[in-house]
Amino acid sequence: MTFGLWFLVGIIVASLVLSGLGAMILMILLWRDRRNKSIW
Amino acid sequence: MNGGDAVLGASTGLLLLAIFGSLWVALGIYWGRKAKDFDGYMLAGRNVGLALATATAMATWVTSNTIILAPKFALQMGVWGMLAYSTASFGLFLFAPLAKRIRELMPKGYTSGDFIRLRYGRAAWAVFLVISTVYSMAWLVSMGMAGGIVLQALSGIDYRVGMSVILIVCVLYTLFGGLYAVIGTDFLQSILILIGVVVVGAVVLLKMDIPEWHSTLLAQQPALLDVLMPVALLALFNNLFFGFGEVFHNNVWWSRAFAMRQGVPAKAFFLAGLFWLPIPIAAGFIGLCAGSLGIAISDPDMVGPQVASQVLGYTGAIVVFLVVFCSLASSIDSLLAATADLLVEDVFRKMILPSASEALCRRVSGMVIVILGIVTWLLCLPRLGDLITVLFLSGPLVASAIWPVLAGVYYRRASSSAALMAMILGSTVGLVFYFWIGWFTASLISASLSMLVVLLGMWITPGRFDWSTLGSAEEQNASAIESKT
Repeated sequence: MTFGLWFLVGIIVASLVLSGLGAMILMILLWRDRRNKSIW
Repeated sequence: MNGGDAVLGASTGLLLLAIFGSLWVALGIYWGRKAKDFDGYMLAGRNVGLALATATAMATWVTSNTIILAPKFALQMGVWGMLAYSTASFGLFLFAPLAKRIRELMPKGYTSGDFIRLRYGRAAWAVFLVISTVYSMAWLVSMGMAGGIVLQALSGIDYRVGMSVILIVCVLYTLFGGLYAVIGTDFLQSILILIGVVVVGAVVLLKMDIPEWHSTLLAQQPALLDVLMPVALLALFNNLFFGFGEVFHNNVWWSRAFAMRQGVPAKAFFLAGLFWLPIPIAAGFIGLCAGSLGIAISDPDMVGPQVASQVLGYTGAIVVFLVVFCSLASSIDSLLAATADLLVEDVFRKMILPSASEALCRRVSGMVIVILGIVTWLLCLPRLGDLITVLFLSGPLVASAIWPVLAGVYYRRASSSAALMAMILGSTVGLVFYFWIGWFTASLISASLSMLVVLLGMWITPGRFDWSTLGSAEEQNASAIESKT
């Protein structure tokens, strides 16, 4: 495995993980806003 | 891939459009009931919380271009191509402090045009309105076209039918629900986009023999892995400035800053940038896989959907279909609402009928949304040019507005004459470079020239702007609207 390969796979996996985390965090934020009655 | 070899049938495509189109319209009507007054319709009551604020900023910035052009950039410019597209997220990051400052300066503000008029006067305001309207129309048309093209490629639905259905759905729910409908649907759409991108990306990655993929790329297309590929590096900086220009000037983002609750804008735009950053890479890398998978690409605009359909088959095509539909709807609705706000507030109320009542403004706003939808539809109908041409032509225009906006928000020395000259010179010279050298230089040149003019203006003819005029003028404006209800 060369640096180029690690770099390529690394940014792809990181981007997929961050996108998945994004969806989860949005749901958590919505739950928090709902609990605080501050969605709108 | 023009619809003849579509993975989904036209009936499946139309069924998906009917289900999700009806859902967005129904939700738009439901959430739109909250809009009791003009502030509610235009700015969702100025009380949007962090979750919806973050999602709407992110979903609006994920356009069909993100899903379609990121794989195309990767196909043509390699690793830096998709990274170049990711730099557009910096626009959201840098808008975070700007949004906080805007909210403080103009707590009762309505549009970005209001700010330019109060800060720099009517001449700069007129140029700004032209830039903003041209860009918004270019964005709308590029998305309408992308919608028709992608739906045809994925499901075989005729280009004109797919494009028309998407525009009709977005016009309907924006018309009935205003910004409440836009922001509410944006949340659901952002969740669907993120999940869809992760599912497609993960399955494609798992199906690839990664070492073999890398060695194939090295052997057949080594330039795509070259970290010093000149065109890709130019594209990276060009995209960076194009992104700054798009976000800093456009009312889509300013109206969101005005709609968010006090204390929310900076956090929301920062989080939106963070969640947006990985999407062009997650959606774009599949463009790099085409060669290794032996997929012949007939149209570079279609490389993403084509690879996803080939690797994931029917299910993959459905997921891509939904992601594209959501990314289109989340941007078209925002543009319709924000551009209508700009035209109603800055043109109708400021130029045509200053005494207009709140009820009349709301009716005119609805009419403008419908007219914008019809004009977009007419411009999309002939299917002129490719996606990148339509959108990037407006790049030098919006890049010329970066420094006038930035300096205007932070420095009282920024002068009206310099702001006006910066927008005119930056746009003109940027357009010359667009046609003379290429799209990847236009925004860069425009932003650099505009910066030079604004900074020279601050030094040679410094202004002495009184910040309090922004807040007091907007307070009077809001009171005038309320008193006419």
